[in-house]
Amino acid sequence: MSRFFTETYYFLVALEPRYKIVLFLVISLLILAAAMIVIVLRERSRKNSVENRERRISRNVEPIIQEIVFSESDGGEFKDAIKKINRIVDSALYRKSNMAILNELILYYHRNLGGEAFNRLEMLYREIGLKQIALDNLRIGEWHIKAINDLSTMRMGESLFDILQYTDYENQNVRYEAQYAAVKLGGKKAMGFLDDLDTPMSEWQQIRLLDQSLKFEYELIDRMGKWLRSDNNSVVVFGLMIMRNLNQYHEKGELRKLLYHKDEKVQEKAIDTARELAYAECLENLYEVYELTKKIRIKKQILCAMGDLGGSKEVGFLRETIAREKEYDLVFEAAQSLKRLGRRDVLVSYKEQELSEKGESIVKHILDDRI
Amino acid sequence: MIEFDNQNSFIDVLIYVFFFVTYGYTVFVMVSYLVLGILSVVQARKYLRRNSYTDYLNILQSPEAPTVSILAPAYNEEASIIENVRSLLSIRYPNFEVIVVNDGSRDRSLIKLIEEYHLERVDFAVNYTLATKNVKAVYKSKNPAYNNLVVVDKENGGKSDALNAAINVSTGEYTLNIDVDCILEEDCLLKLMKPFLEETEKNMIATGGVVRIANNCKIDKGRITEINVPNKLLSQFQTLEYLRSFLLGRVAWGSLDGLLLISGALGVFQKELVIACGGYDDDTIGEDMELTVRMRRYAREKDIDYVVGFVPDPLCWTEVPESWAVLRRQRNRWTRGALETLLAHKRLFLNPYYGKIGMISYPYWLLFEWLAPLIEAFGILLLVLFSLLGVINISFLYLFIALIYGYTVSFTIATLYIEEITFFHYKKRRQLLRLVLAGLLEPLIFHPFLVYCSVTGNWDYFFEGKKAWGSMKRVGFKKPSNGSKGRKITISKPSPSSKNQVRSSPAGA
Amino acid sequence: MSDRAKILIVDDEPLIRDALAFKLTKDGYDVDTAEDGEKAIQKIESDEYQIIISDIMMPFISGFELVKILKERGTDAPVLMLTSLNSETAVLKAFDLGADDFMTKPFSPNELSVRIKKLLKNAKK
Repeated sequence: MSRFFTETYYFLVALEPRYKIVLFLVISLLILAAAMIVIVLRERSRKNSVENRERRISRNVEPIIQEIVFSESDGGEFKDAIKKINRIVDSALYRKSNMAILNELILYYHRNLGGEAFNRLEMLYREIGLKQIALDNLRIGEWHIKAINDLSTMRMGESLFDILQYTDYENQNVRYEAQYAAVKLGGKKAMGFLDDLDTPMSEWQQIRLLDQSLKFEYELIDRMGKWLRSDNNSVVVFGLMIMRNLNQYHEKGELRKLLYHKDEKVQEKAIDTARELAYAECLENLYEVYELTKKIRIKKQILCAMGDLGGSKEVGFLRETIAREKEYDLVFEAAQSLKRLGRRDVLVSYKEQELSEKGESIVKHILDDRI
Repeated sequence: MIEFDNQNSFIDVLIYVFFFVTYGYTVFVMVSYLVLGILSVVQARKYLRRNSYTDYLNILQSPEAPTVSILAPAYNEEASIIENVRSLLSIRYPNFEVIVVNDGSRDRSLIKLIEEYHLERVDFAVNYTLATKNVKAVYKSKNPAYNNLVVVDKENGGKSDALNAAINVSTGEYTLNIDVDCILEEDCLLKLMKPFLEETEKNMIATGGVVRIANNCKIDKGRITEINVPNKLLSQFQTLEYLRSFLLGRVAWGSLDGLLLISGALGVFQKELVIACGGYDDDTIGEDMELTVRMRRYAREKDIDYVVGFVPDPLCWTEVPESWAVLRRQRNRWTRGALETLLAHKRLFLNPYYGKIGMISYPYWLLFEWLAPLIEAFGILLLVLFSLLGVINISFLYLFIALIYGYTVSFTIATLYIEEITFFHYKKRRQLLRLVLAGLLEPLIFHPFLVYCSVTGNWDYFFEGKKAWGSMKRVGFKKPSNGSKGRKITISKPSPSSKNQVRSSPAGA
Repeated sequence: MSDRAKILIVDDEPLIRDALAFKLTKDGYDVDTAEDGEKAIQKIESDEYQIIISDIMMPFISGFELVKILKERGTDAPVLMLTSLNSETAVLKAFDLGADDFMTKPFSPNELSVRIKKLLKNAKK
């Protein structure tokens, strides 16, 4: 046996260097591949055990949570339930991961339930120590986002102050999460961070913030003027979204200025906002912008606005547009606006006069209510 | 490796150069795959971490979510069209429309649609912004539950033409372009739209997603309910190939913003830009790759600071061919499609004006996706020749081949490992082991086959003049078309599963 | 047959289904569940329910379609939509298709109880 090894050894030593290198690579690759298979399989068993644990915990905890959430149990029963849950998640090895599972479960219920059930879940979250875990995580770099997210989902209002300091954090994702949490926990008052925000907010972030803002009770948001005057276009757009979705009429003057904004997105949003707020006094400005701009999107948006804001003058203008305009989209929009103004008669008479073939098919399309 | 022989020194030098190039090339390929692989892992983990707590509900109920039109071209899909449309209609997104284009099907697709969804003809003024074949009629449903369904009936013009027609009719700001026979994840549109909404600095023009293999998966009512590894070896090979291509190749390219191909099976596009650059080219076989490249070129030439996104999540499932013959036709077509696009846009090659795609992506495609199989085939031929002539030292070569084999297998297993720690779809241990087994066999069986397909694809393109769909197109199966010499009839037989197949570049194969 | 009202809950998320079932059982109803539109239709065909509570975004047959189908068949049972979609269009569409009530998630279980009581009362008349 030992002879075999010595012979192999001398054989290897005698090889040319390039043989040695390649042979070495081949063998190490084989070892690597084998090692990876082993890792994959071990990883798999680990995952399976986690999943099983997850299932077991939810199965056991679910009825307890339901009992707490849906019944008018008193303080004593509440404490009992917490004890029971603690017993289920308690484990020397897996406590941390068990708590994480429990956390997700409570968060899930909380996202879907409201009213009294909602308050009870919050209480449970605090009492069982999950809130403390989240607060601790907030201080550990890697867990910023998750912690902020949990705290805001569970509406831990008292953590607002801890969270606010992250609204201008350098990491974009942490920043976004903190802004969202601030709006969720602090409502209108916490939105001051927008006044002098330099970093752009993505559309996604704007939509998230808006979604939260829609839950406010109706109230005048007096700092909105600042947002509309901001140099940060994303803040301006967000301001417009708030304006139209929360019916904030008081900054109409600013809105009128924004109709001329040099950024196409802002301009488009401003026109659309004027339409939704039924801001008919700005029609003169819209005519002016229509003449000034070369952008089809803007023109289209203006024609659309006329369909909501217009009167008899606009009917004439729209009719003219259908007859004169060559751009399909504009003719289409004009016809649609006429219909919205309730002037089917104009469209019908246009169709009968057969002024242009294209115009006619568009008018037919618009008159077809099934589309 | 070379036995120098004084009498024959010229040939010796030649052989020396040959080996030098071959070994060098191989090592280069290995290293670049390794780099791509590492990039992908980093990217996928980052993505997963960032999205593990994303709440899509915010956008799902937002009045400000951009509108999306789902474009589904269909040709002779009567067997599955009803279910597929139904699953499209139940996609999770706040405001979208589904536009099904019946591209002159000769089966009962349209009638079935009309009956099932209570469609009636409407006076739709079709605007031919993009030139297409004539649209015969546009249908809408009488049932308000389907008020976001539009069915377009048009004369047959091929997939590109159908997609263009759908774009003409669509009203959304974005379009989700899909293969109607693919199975989409419920959240796929939300996930694909997210990059558009998250981008703050650049203009995002398109996003692509990961395509996976549906063979042997349990499908219930247009949704995947259980993910399995395919039973047939050939499909298992393709599973590995797709895993490598998407999990490692595309994710890495996506993170580098160097994608040249957004699969025709799944991609969201900014409609304005698609129209501005002229829509799909109906003269090409690889219309999806051609469009992606053209959009990038257009954006660059118009000085738009653009970016193309990629979502590493598996969002779309497709059936792959289970017979060698069908697969051969599919790969032959992909080869020609990629080749055609590469040649049509040869301006990009090492052109610093086009930035990364000119300097990295395009040369990569040229060198790896197109040339690699040719070089390989050529190298193998020469090796056989040399060893027959007895002019080379075989033993080192064997060792080197062993190295390549070892590398490929390790790479495959690494892919499985990455899948395991990221998306973890193949949950059954036995199925995983079967994939490992397939990985051991793949370099010996499947890879040579792919090389063969690619070589014949090149041959067909350059010498048989099979450039466009024309000779391969659905209408073409009755009579062999121009340039064919009778032998092509076998190739252009109608094959149900080959017509709308997804393209996945075997990057990393 | 008991005189307790029978309720069918249609939702694709098991946790919601369980929670609702728990709550409504506690409120004294007979509760049955279905995980998607198709199963719901099967159950409704074989059994009679006094109220149907349905999610909207479900695979295959959405809540919208379910309402439509039920109303076309002339099912008397009122349908309450319980969904995370809270856009105006969704509400309009739901009522247009014949839904009898609409609630958005997150929902208050107590509010749900009250609404169910009211729907049952109206249905008796």
